[in-house]
Amino acid sequence: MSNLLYKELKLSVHWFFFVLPIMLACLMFIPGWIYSFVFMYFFWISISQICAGYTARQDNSFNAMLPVTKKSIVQAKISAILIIQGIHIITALVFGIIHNHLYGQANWFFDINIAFFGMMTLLYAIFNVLFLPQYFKTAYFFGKPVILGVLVTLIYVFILEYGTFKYEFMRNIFEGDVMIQWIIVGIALALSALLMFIAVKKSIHNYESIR
Amino acid sequence: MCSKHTEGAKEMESLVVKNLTKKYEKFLLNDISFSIPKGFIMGFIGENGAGKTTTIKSLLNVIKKDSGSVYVLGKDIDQHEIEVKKDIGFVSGDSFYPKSKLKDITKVYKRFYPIWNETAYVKYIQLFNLDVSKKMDELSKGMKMKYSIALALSHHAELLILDEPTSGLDPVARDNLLEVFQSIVEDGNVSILFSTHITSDLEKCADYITFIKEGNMVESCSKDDLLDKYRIVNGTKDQLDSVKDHMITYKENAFGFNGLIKTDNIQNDDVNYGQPSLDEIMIYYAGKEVL
Repeated sequence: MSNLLYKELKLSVHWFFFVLPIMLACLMFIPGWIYSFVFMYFFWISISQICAGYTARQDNSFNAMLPVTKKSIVQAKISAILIIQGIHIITALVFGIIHNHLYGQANWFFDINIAFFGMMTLLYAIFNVLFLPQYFKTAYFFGKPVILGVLVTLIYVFILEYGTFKYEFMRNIFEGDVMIQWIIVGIALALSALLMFIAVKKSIHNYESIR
Repeated sequence: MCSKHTEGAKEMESLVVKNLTKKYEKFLLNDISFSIPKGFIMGFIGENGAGKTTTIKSLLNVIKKDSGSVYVLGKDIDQHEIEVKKDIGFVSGDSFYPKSKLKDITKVYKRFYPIWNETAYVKYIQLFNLDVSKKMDELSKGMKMKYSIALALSHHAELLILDEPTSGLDPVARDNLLEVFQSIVEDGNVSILFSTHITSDLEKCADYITFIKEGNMVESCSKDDLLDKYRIVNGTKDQLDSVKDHMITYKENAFGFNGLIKTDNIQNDDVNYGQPSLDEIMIYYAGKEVL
């Protein structure tokens, strides 16, 4: 699997998509904004371009030559996607800390706090569990799976951002006691791990069943 | 069919395919069986859409087969997929990573093979006049094919599976590549399965032929046996009635008829019989309904 991951990073996915999250993380410096957007650009820009890139680079033709299983092909592709999502989260975290030092934490919408990063990790897991198994049914068509993932994550982000803007009880949960925020992070990470487990299992099953 | 496959024969063969079946909504690859003895070239022929690529992709587990078994050098591919694939060099007409340099692709490719032989790789790169600093899309189709073959031979693949390697190449490049194939099998360690619809290529270099039509096996045997097994027959319209029931297909023209007949079915000595080419066997079969 490590050789396939090396192949993903070296040949299959353009280096630009590993740098883009760093550039997008600069948006964390905009004062008083909806910072979930920083994470959502991955769905709006990167993922469809990455999938189209697999086709344009004829990645499947090369995979067919290699002594690998379909399972490890899926695992490597998902690992590359998780690395990009990880760069999004880590760079946004670093720039978010700087943002809070410059402007303070208070925000009309969801604050840049530890609960925010927990919920953004869950955001990626929700997208992944919707998108990946659908995409790996063909490993070619990505339009409908991306639209499905984008719509559901938009609703998820709307609830979070509008809720913390409009309702005090949501502010109390997500922007209140730091201890509660850490509990939210714990729950979000556990849910993310569960959703990713399902996403990987279903993706492998779907890819192995391609006729 | 000319060939017979037995369990015991598997270990002497580079590739044994048994009862390979793959069903699509509008296409059935039906019960395909053939084998390649070690050190020989087998031509895998059929019209466009006959199921050649489907057979190759199914036997390599690139697409999921419905039933059947595949043994490479005596090992079942379903049970030893990674191990078996390390012994196979699969070269298709498809290109890959058009904007990547050959040296970058090689750097990735060789990581998958613990027995990668850098000396052999350099030898083949020089033999084929390849410039590794070039990008894939800067190579002609023939050069791309040679690069893929160089990769396959550098990890000591004992079975080369070539899917339409000569289609789209000019006659000089094709002849050049056929010479390469013949030199590869010379030492008796490497076997080649070579799918094509350009049968003249196989007249030059194949030892065995497997012929499929609309997903069904027609023949699998040595090229000489196959050519001996059929005869082109022609005669006048008056002679047609006496032989038409024995012919595979025939075509009538202003002067009489031409057709294909199995040598065993020759009964009438009045008409003219001749040696067919692979092309003619394929063309006459194209007009025959599959039973």
